[in-house]
Amino acid sequence: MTDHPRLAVAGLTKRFGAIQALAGVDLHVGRDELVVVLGATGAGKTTLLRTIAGLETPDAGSVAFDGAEATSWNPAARDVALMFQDFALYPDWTVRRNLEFPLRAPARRLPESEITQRIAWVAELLAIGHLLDKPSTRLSGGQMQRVALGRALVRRPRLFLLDEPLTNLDAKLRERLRLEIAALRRELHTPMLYVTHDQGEALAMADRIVVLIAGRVAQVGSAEDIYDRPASPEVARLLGHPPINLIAATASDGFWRAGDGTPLAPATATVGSRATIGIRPEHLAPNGGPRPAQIRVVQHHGAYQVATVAWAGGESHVLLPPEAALPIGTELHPSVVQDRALIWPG
Amino acid sequence: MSAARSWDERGAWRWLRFVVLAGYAGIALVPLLWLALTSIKAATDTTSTTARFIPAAESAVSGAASHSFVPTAAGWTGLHTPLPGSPATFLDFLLSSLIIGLASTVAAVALGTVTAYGFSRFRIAGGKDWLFFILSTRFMPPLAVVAPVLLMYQQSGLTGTHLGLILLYTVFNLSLAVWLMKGFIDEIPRAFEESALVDGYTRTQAFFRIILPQARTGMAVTAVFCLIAAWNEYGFALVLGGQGAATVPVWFAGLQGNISGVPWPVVAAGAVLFVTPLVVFAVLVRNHLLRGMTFGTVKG
Repeated sequence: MTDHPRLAVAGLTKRFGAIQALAGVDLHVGRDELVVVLGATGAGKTTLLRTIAGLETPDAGSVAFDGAEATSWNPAARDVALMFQDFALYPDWTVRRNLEFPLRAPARRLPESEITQRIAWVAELLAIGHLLDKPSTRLSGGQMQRVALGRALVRRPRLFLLDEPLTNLDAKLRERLRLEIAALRRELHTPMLYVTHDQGEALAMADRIVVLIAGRVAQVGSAEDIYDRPASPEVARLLGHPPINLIAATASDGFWRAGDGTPLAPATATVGSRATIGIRPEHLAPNGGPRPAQIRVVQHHGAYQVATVAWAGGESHVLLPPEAALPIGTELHPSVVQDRALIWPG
Repeated sequence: MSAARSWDERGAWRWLRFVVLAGYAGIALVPLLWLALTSIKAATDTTSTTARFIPAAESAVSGAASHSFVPTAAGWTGLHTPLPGSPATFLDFLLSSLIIGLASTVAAVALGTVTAYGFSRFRIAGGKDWLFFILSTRFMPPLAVVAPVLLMYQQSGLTGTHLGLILLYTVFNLSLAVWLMKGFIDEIPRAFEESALVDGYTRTQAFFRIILPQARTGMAVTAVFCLIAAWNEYGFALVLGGQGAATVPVWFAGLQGNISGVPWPVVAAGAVLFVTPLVVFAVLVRNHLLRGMTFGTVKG
């Protein structure tokens, strides 16, 4: 074993006409980890996966597998499995034929007994044995997802690439399947690069999260790193529910102050310098602050309530305990929990 | 109770549907039946002022006002009579039609499918302009170019050959085939062949194993259009077909100059044989035409 990562991407750049899909992406995936690429729609996530799979040719940059430069390899030679967002099962074919298709690739030349054994293995692993002889068009969304996953697993590739595999499923199924996928991956010890716009999936599954914004890697780190120490307001906005409060502030009298003078956090910067202050709703206590804030909307979320309040010259989210019965118009005095304000100068 | 009533309603609907369709089929088939009857009449029966459509033995026929006629094979045996000034009989023309029609259809559909795949899947410099150019080849009425084509064919020895008309019909049908097939191939999700590429297949293998089976419906539709166009074409067949490769439409036209009037029973017999291959072809591709376009994906 060498210590090359399974996948190393460096300076990957791709432009489609006027759209810069990837602008110098660096990332690596180790030999046994699940890396989630998190980004909004249009951030370049799918282009990144397709370039790694060899379906797109990058304008610049390189892709390497296990230390071997592979930028010009054709998709078949890369030995990665790509699971598409819409599953792309072949219609009219049975589930079994769909699963066998990758194994019957002329380049692979597997003996018939090996094919049978692998199908049996994957059918048991995913509990899809009873579906094997059904046409793929007769499956439910959840079943299609399992078969598509099976088609990726059955190859035993060097790397799994998954493109928003749960987006087309209903919420309940999504939550169950994301845990299943992560558990399966650990069992198989095959690395996975998982692309999603869903912060819940990223936080629940990832060993490491790569945040992609406008074709650039904005931050890499564990879920905690990225949630607690986001590198920029854009990254901070991608994670957290309800979303983080972002307030433009100016330094004066030893405080970062909002436009209306509300003090947000202690400032050591020179008077007059500007910054964006980020305060997660859970770090904004409902009371104890100097300035009043009127409740405009209250949403109940079960374990907590989210109040939208008029504060610091704009609207902010404050978490309230579930039993608090505060009608619209109630006055709060929000205060920032000490040391929890995020400050991005500039 | 309500279940029984709804069953009755279903049964009634089925009968109604059957009656309507049978009625329509009856009306639609009358001309074809008339054609078949004409082919077994004597020439005088075809031009009689009384409609004669009941085949009968000689003894039953009575008077000029009768609707019955005596069947005869003269129309069919007439197919063996060569056209004036040519050794070729109807069957020679039909054979030319079959060879030229089928070969040009296969060629146009094959080339059209491959070309359409290229336009559908690859970013081609000036792709839209090329597509428009391909379509523009049909803007000029074909007969406007008959003279230059004739000169070209005479120079290259293609007049009077099957190959000449096969090439010509292939070229004429190709623009239609490319445009039709592009529409069908655009509908096939790219992920299908991309999945195959990642799974270890070459693009050629993915094209033959994944795209072609999915494009069956489109190919069948395109083939029907191409075959009909080639089958019915007259002008070029007349000018370029010469002695060796003239098709059935030329044969029909050749009967018009007959000194004893148009031999309608012979025309009808030829027409029956001329229509039959198209019907057989349509029945053969029918299953492909009716095959539903359903895909194993959650999004269309």
